[in-house]
Amino acid sequence: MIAAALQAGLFCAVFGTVGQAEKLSIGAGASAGTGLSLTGSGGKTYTKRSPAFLIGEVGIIHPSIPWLEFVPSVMLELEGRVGVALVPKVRAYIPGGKRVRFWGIAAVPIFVAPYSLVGIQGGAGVSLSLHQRVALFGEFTAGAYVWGTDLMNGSDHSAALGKIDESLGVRVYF
Amino acid sequence: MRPPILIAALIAALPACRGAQCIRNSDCSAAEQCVATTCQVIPTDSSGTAGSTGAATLGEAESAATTASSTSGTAGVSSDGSVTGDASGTQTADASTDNSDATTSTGTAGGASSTGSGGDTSTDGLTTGDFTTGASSAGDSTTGDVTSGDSTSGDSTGGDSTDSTDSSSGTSTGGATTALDLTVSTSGSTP
Repeated sequence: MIAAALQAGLFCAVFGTVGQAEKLSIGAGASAGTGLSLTGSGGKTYTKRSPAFLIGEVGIIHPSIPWLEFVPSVMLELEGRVGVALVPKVRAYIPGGKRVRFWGIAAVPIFVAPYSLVGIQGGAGVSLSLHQRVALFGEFTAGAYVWGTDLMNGSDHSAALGKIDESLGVRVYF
Repeated sequence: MRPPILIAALIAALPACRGAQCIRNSDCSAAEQCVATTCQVIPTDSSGTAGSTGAATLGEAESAATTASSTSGTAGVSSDGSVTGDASGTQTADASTDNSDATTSTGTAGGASSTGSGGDTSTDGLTTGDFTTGASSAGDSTTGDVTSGDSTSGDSTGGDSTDSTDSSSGTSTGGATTALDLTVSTSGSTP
């Protein structure tokens, strides 16, 4: 609920002033990936491969801020117990590049099932246009999760979780 | 630092990391939770029955733990099974050893204090019949009692936390946890 409200609020804040003559640029994407999860307990660092995940997203670009894309997305972790997360994120595109584009990412993953987990995520991405409306893209992100019931109980407290993930997917522009 | 160097450093550092059974609760099944990279069964009855001696509430156990840790700091139960309130400083190590005993043999919680000061008497008073396996695994002292009470009080250190975990899984008891069980169990049935 909080995650949905956050996404809606951020969307309205960014795009609430769009005039009738202006047209949002909208795209949709799907990607899959995995990565490495890290945590610490008893002074030691433990790792585990992150559950494979799928991400479905909608990208919205305001015409007056063409370098910034708001991307509400949903992530499903498919291995083990299926996890569901809402991931509002923004992409800031680096100017230049027609066929190949680069961007930076900032996101707030909010897992809502089966446990709660909230963190922050940052990273970078690149896309390769295959067609005027279709592109392949990949993203590399690093995240830190410091709150939620999904965190492991460490030796003396809940242990923060770190994730380094990468994903590959396809985007379609409408 | 150049990115290739960063990547190389990361790759070099990864082998130093240890693999883990779990690092999130969602890595475990629904009936388990991840504790210190190990999936452990979630205790379902923190106020369960202490063997055949009857029910013991969490509050009772907690109260007993408080009493034990707030007194002389040595040993736990008297020969007649009543709580004397002296969870010993040496109880930790001894309890760890005796936990195994409690688990593998008769579950005599008294073993936890077999070598601890004062606990010797409790051993005598609480052997076998009073502390059946059920008493040891009843989970009366599960959850955070030990952690919040004895472990943090300073009377019991280190191993007690582990013992409490064991206790929560119902496989054994120990340290302060054992003291809790002793308290609970003996309160109603010591001959």
